[in-house]
Amino acid sequence: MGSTDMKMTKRLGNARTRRPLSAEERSVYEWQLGVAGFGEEGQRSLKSASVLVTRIGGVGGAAATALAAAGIGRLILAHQGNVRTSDLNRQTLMSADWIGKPRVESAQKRLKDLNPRVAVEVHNVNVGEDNVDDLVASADLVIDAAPLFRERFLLNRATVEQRKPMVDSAMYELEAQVTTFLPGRGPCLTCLYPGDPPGWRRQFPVLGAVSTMVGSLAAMEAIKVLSGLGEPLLGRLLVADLRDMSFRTVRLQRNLHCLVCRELH
Amino acid sequence: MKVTIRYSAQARVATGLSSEVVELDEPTSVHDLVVRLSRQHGSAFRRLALDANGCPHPSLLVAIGDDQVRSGDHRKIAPGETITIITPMSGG
Repeated sequence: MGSTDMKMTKRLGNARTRRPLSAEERSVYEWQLGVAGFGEEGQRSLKSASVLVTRIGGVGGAAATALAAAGIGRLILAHQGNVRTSDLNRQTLMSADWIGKPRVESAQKRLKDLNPRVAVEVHNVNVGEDNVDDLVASADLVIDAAPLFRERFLLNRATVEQRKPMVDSAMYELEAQVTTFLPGRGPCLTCLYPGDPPGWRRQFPVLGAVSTMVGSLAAMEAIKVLSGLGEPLLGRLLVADLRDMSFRTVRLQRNLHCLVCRELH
Repeated sequence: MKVTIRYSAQARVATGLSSEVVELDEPTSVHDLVVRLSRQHGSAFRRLALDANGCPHPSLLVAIGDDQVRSGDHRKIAPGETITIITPMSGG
């Protein structure tokens, strides 16, 4: 990652806006405060940050859980609909006793049980033309865990327009893809996929252990961008296949003719 | 010359292969390789790989080694290179 990218990630943890930690918070986060390059400054950056997670199924739910445990300041969760039995193989924020009730309410309760210090704002809606700008505006960073490319493209357009980072997380069967977009610093989602991918369906085969891993990877990317820790997957796509546990990164290209982000370069 | 093709996700399902070695008789571009593979592997893969005009679909990701190239790229593939066909996926 170049120095310009580092500046952009550091900017999200601007010292003027970072809230101090209480003695209780130092105790709760004791194990991670010792991580080299993270420490109290990193923890304060997380505490001061807001992350939009859409949706909160297998991937988004795992990401939200990891961020809540890590002490993110505010989670904004968007996902329409009620818990279904077919959610339970992977959606770890849901439970069998919540079938037929709103997913976001289950998620809010579980996350507050895990870490009551985290503000959890929920929206029983999916991302659409009418709400995407406001949802993105309410967060410092977006985790895209939506199953439909229509939603993913809307989030991409809004994050590019608002210059917000977006972590893109995806899976299929035992495979995973994760990358992080910083507008103006490499490709955006539409650079990779200029239009609806052929043959993609909302429901696809996947094991829950895969979605949990992908969500954790997405949360890690968010933590890195927000705290300035390590090197996010800027301009790189992590491609994992859990059949043989192969992990590799592919260097991505910007599309100079991209209809969404070409003006930024 | 021989090149190795690796298939991921929906491409792996459509071809029934994780990888294969392909013999190319002449210098071949990424564009032409995708079209050739589409002829070879039947309708399920063709639907993923080609657009309505029979050209490589722009939303198909292709990597040569560890570098993404456009699926319609006319760059010639070198002997021994590994080409990965990466189909889009999402959350859920």
